[in-house]
Amino acid sequence: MLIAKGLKKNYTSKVKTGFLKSTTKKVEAVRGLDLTIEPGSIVGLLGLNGAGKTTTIKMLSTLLEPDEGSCAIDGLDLVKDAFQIKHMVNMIAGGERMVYWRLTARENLEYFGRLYSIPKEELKSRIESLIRFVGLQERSEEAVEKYSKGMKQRLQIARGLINDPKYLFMDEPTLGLDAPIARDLRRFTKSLAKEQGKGILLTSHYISEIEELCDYVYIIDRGLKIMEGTPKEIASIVANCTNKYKIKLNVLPDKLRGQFETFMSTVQSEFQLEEVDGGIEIDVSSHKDIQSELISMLSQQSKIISFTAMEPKLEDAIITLSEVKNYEQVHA
Amino acid sequence: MFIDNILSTARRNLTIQTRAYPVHFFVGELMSCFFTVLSSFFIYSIVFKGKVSDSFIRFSGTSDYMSYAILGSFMYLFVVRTFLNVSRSFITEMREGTLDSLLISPVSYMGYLSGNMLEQTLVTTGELLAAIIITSPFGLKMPDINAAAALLCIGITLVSLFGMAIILCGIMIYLKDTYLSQNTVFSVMYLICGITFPVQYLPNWVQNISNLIPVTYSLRIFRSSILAGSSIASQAGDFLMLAVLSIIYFAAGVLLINRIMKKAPERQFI
Ligand SMILES: Nc1ncnc2c1ncn2[C@@H]1O[C@H](COP(=O)(O)OP(=O)(O)OP(=O)(O)O)[C@@H](O)[C@H]1O
Ligand SMILES: [Mg+2]
Repeated sequence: MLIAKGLKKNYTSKVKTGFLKSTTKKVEAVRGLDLTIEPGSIVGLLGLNGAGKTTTIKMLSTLLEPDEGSCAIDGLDLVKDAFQIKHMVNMIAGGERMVYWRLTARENLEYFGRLYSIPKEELKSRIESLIRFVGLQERSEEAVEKYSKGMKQRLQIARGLINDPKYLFMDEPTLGLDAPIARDLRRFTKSLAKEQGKGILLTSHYISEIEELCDYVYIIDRGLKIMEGTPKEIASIVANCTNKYKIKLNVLPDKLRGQFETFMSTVQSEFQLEEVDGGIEIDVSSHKDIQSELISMLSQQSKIISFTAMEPKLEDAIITLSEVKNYEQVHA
Repeated sequence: MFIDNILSTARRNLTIQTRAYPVHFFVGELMSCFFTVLSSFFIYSIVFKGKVSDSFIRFSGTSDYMSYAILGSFMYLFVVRTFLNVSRSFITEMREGTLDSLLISPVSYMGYLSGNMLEQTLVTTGELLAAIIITSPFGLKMPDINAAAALLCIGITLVSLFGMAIILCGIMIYLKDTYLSQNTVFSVMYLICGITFPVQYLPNWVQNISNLIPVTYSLRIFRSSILAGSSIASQAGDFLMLAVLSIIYFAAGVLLINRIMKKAPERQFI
């Protein structure tokens, strides 16, 4: 089991203020994160850009040393036993990097395999099965620079599995992949956890991916955890956070308009009115599910031409959740 | 483990270099070696009218200026090639986006760097053979070579070059610069280590700096062993200085690289 407690990471970077002048700027990327990954489970890490997902993953994969906090992986300490931990973990990032473009797929895997001191015969058979696994059999003797984006990405996945890690950290692994390949990768990720018992941490911007794969989800914002739970719980909260409706009416009499505006302010919702051809369009965004109330109120005095409830967006939910969190902190 | 790191990295580099070996780079190095010798030849035959001054003979211990210059260019070829490629190894990984996958593995920094050094030494030895052929028209004469001294000199020189390369490697990662760092180092070494003329012609304060760079001793021993047949014993002082400097540079390099590489992943995107 991987247990992280109070992980913190600050970056200091130089900011140029003139030709030869610069000041240092501190970014608190991760601000005290607790996290648990059990073998055989897929844990999701969600957050907006800059939330600290990649930083967290890099800490867990021993690339960055945490400034504070601790992490134990199967009883070993992330910092003190880094060398042993390197044999047990690996990372796969989205994009085409992390493999040598001038080597072939096989040469890449051979090189990385030898860095992990895998015995020759074992390495050989592992490379064969990994190449088959990611479907690169036909191109395995070709230099990686000639590969397509998806093929490079698949090779990267094979690289991430070369040491048969017990814990695998995947940073937006489906970034830039075609839908069918992304689907393959998801299926494959699931089998790594469920059939091979690997503990997997997955970051993603797509709520659907998280819902499909994860057993448990953490949502972080600006380095802080703002929520955790099963994907079901998260999805329902997300749905509740951001109800968006697009309504088209044929007319909006003044009386109804007054009534509607009062209702909007009692449920603390926002709206926008716009006159369009053949009627009026209203965009409503609310923290509550007010679909039935809206329909019954509006249909009494007008004709609803169309009513669309928009799919809840994770981004909106995170923004709302972090606003609530900030509000709670300020008023605590 | 460590040996495995060295061998697999050397093999990887050799694969990359022989596959997409930039032929023009190879030719370029040989050309620059050729032109260094050629320009020495012109200076020698036009400016000095084929006669070297007494001071040159006193400083260098030989009157054969062309052989002196050719040996200098050979040494410089080694300096540039090993130094350049080894020192650039980690920053190249950084630029090509492979540093994370390398550092996430249990790789040993020194094993990795040694692998780079091993491969580059092999390749440069090949280049040296080509350089010997290319510069043969200028007539390198080795009337009285002391092979043992020359070989020992090459051995210790490689250690010193490796040490300096590791330091430069750390500096490059720290400054995230290759161009300025490497060009400064190479120009300075070309000017003050006695590649084309004896360091004694330089002002005293510059000579003090020269005496801190192992290449200065390497060149003196190398030429003296090959052109004047000097033995190891008769050059004990220079050998000692070369060995001491090599150990210092090497130890400093190891300490520096361990500290800098530890912080390298978080400096990557600054
Ligand atoms: N090497 C670095 N130097 C300085 N600041 C950094 C560095 N890497 C990340 N940061 C900063 O740390 C914060 C967290 O970044 P991180 O990459 O972990 O976010 P993320 O959640 O992965 O974002 P994204 O969804 O865009 O990938 C950001 O504010 C980012 O600008
Ligand atoms: Mg990221």
